[in-house]
Amino acid sequence: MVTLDTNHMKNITSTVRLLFFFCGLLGGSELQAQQKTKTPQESDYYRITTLPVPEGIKLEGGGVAALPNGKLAIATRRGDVWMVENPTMQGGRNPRYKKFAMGLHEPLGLEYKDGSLYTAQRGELTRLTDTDGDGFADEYYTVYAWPLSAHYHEYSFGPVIAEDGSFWVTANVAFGDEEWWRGESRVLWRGWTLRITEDGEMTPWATGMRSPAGYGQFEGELFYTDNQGDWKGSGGVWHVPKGSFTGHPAGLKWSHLPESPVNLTADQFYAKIDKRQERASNGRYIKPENIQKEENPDFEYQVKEMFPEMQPPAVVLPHGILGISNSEIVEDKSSGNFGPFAGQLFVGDQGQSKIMRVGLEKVGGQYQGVAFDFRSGFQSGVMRMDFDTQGNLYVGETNRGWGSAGTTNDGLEYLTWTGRTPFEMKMVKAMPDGFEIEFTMPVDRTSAEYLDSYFSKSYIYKFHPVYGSPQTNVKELQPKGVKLSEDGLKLRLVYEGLRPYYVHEVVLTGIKAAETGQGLLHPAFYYTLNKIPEGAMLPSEELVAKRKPKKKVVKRVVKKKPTGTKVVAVPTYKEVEPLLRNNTCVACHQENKRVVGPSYRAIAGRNYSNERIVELIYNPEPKNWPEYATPMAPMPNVPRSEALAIAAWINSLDDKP
Amino acid sequence: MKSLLLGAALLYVGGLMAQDSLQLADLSSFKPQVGNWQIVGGVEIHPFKDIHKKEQAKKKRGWFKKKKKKTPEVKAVTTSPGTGILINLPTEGRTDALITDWEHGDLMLELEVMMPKGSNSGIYLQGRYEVQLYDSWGVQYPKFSDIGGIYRNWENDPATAFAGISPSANAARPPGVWQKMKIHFRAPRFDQQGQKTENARFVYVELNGVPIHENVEVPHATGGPISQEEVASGPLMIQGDHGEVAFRNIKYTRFQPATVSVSDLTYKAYHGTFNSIEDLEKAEVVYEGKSPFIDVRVAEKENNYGVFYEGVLHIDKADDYSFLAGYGGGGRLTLDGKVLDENNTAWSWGGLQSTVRLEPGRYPFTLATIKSAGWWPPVLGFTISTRSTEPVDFHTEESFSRLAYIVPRILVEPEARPKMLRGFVRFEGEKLKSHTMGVGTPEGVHYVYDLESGHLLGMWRGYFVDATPMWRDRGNGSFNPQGDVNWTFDGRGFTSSAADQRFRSTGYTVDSKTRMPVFHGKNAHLKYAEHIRPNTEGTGLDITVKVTPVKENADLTSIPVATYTLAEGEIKEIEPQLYKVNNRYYVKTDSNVRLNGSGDQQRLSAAVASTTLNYNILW
Repeated sequence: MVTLDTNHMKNITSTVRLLFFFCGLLGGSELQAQQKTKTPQESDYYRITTLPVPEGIKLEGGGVAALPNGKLAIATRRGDVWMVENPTMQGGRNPRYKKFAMGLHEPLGLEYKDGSLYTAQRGELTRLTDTDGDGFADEYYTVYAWPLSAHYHEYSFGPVIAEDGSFWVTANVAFGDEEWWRGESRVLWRGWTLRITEDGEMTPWATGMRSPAGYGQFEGELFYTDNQGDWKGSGGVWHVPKGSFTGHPAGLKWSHLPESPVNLTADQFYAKIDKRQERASNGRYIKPENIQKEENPDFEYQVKEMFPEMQPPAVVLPHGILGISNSEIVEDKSSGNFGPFAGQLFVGDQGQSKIMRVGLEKVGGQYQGVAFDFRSGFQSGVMRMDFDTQGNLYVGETNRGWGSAGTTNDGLEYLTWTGRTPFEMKMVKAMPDGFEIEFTMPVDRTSAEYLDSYFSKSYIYKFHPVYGSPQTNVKELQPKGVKLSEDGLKLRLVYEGLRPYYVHEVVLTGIKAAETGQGLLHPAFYYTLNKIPEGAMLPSEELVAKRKPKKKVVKRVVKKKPTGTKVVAVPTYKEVEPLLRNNTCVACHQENKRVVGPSYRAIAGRNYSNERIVELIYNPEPKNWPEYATPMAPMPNVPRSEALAIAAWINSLDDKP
Repeated sequence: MKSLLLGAALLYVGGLMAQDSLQLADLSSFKPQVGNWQIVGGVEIHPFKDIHKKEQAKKKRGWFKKKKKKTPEVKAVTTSPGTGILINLPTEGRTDALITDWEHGDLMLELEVMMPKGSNSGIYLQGRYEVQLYDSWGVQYPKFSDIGGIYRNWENDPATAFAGISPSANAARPPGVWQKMKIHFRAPRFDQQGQKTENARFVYVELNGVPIHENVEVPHATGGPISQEEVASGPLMIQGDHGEVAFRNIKYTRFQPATVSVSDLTYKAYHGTFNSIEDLEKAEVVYEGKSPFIDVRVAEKENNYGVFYEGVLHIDKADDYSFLAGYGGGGRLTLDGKVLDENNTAWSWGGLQSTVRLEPGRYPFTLATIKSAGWWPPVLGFTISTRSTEPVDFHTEESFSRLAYIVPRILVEPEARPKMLRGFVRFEGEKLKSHTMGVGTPEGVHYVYDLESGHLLGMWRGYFVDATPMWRDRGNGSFNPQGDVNWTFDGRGFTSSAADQRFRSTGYTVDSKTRMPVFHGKNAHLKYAEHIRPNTEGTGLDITVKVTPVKENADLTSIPVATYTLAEGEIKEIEPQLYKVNNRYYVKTDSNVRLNGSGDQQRLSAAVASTTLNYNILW
């Protein structure tokens, strides 16, 4: 019997070996074939690993903190704090979850300090401590409690631990009286950032916050992200020095109080800025909408000229392109373990379930900088992030009723650098005459020296009480010339007509890596040029300005139809795809799947005319889609011809099964 | 959320109905009995006196006569003359059941009941199906024999045996506290040969506002009926042989089969944005036809539509008829050419309502709706009821579906350890409190503590909380206690005589033994720790309040006086150290407390400095 068993085992073993052998052969040859042809993907450079979550646990990630003992702490919307042991699943072992604390009120942040965890619940900053060493928090200490009107939108976020050990927390505004579109500060310090010491002393720090879901620290300074909405034309990253006002006026209700470090009052603000509070003939307030072709819209920088407290965003994250609901900011302090971007900032986004990359620099004493796309494809909304000591970036996820590109409602993932270096713009700096781009690897000189390799434009967002703003004063730019460094790593792009405070968007479509001939993984950068640096410009003789030799194209003679009626030909998906991408439609819509907005097919089902769809692109009516939480922003920047083509394509979907 | 609100509001509108009251000036509504049933004006019931220990007490009194003279025995039940309260005071040989002199089929019954410790009674619908009344105070896992249970019968044959149905939660209040019961009963149905075609059913039963039965069938008469034979109509009977029981505010509705019907129903559907219902007159009809039911879907549009129905209403009996027409957008209901109710807009929602006296006959009616409100679903309902008939729907389920508003619930229950959960809570179901925490225990005794004001805000027993409002979709940050909540008072637990010495909460620690929170707070001079945990009997909470000076050797006479409030409201001293609050719960303490104020503005409090205060809250 024993012999038989042993023989049996041997047989199995050899069969298994044989299988492995074949797999190895096939796998290897496939890989080689791919290397020749494959277009680089984000996943080649940054790997997303999904943590298995025990059944029955809802991990709507409200906070993640990688602890010095190697465990990961997660605060969830359900009010629990879980300790996850072995989150990276070393040895192929399942991570272990243990409940450390429970019953917190929708915590939205988690930080470790001196043996305790700190979290902002809706109504207070809480210190959680396990005093008797049994692995459960037994002290829930209220460091500081702030008032609430108990409105659902009064979320509180944080803390950020300052260099001196004190804490910053941020406080959402409420909505929902008759003017339900207008964020309001119903009780003290809503719409503010607060600074709180360990022993519970609170000083109001700054106001102007609307929905300050994200926060982070850079060079010891506080930064936060806000979400597009009223008075916030687009999401972005704001530097928050003490006493600053970041634009949403709700919190100004309290700036007259002696403890306020902000001097600007609501009365002063509304004396200069139109609140657009009008009543219809039936006595009800009218919801302010975007004014098309508005003659003299307000912009944040003009407000800054009137009120020096005004703090325009350091880096705009153009809405719909770099996120729709920005979240936490983390700095890469992994000194290379997380890839080539050490010292830069990563900003999450809930709605688009992705992470953007931001490089800051100081120009004229003020922070400004550049933003790039970085990594998409998370399973749910990216809410909270933290690096562990190994350089893994943990991502606590949720979409909590707002919808997200990632289709699950919650979860926990981490992002790891694969060790390969992507062909990316590492950093873009403002220059007196343009920009200097630093690449992660040398650039092919020929491709860089063609001016046709660059599509450039600049635009700004309005400052008004309307929900979001279209890109405004859009102007296309042509580079005057370029200069590539000897080593091919640095490129100067020189422009005329740079505009301070405008977002300068440049897409480097033609640029190729010298070694591989491949294009940039993310070809676009978005630089918020609050200030143009002073200094010497590049002499024009150093600039190269070549044109790509045109391929001979046989011109097709298209006979125009003699009839007067316009017939829009139905474009194919291949034709319409670049339009959907360039106009950022894809950020919220897909052909067959509900994402942030309805699928194109669902829109087709409404039987709108093409003209009506164009009208709705320019002036969306969110009330038509009550089951979608995020209202669409007006997109008047979409050229009419493109909008018509998109509409025709959408409507063609209705005819297909 | 919006659709949820819509549903809740419309269902509420549908629930309004008139009732009869059982007059309790005398016993003329009942059949004669031997006299154990009486009408009185007042009744006091002691929370702890057990009626079964009376005889033992008598014996004791025989042996220790001196003691009896010193402290007169507090009786379990004391009555005072007057009217309005029906009470059973059984004595030997006088234990009749009480039977109404009227009969009922389908019935809605609401009453208040109060019982002493150890008592037992029951309400027999049609004299045959018993809802048990019992002193079940503190029972964690109620049986069919506890209050609200549908009692078993004593048959052994599986064909006729009925095992009883336990209430889904024990919502019992203590002896001496009035309890509210609401029973919606549906009588068994019989064919013309007298064969039963449908069992008797309890559509729902609520005890103290807590649903304890939902649509359960009773296939046979339960134990101790008037008769085993099931019938279409029978009297209401109350058991009288197992102890004292008092009733007041007995209200009932006897339902009759509805006879109202509708014929010649036709519709016209319109597409477009209509500002008023009159716009339909000029609009082009897109669809028209006949239909047996009202159905908004004839418009074949989600929004920007108009629908116009007309038909004939058949009335066989003179009565007051109540109309309810749910709509999204706006609507108008006319009868016999007169407008009964309207909301002439396209962007609202609600229910058109009217009650009119109608003689037998035929009445033409019209129902119009317009909607240009994309955020509301298409809705059109048409329901008619009278005070004695259950509502009849003349619409399709899809046109006005109650199911559309049902979502999966997120319920929270403590498991092996107590559960703590912070969330907004509505005090008395109304005022939102922002810094509150629910504490649920495996013993089934739960409470809400307000960390902002530093005091116990409410307590209940049974299921812990429904967190659906907080955790579904975006949520509103609040949860709902799942029980008969005793709200305490809207004030502060710890106060100081110095205005600038307000106490501030510093959170809570978790007791290593009980795993229950101990709440902490302080002002400049004093700090407190309040430990609130369930008592061993499951009837309430044991509370220990420790107050100590912040500085160890502080001179207590030099610091502003601090006060701890145990209770506010209408407070009655039942005996030394035992208080009844708001006629709902008891406070029992061995510590020094004082009672100030009058009426419902009373306050039970204690001065605290370096103090340990113990008390119990019982409900």
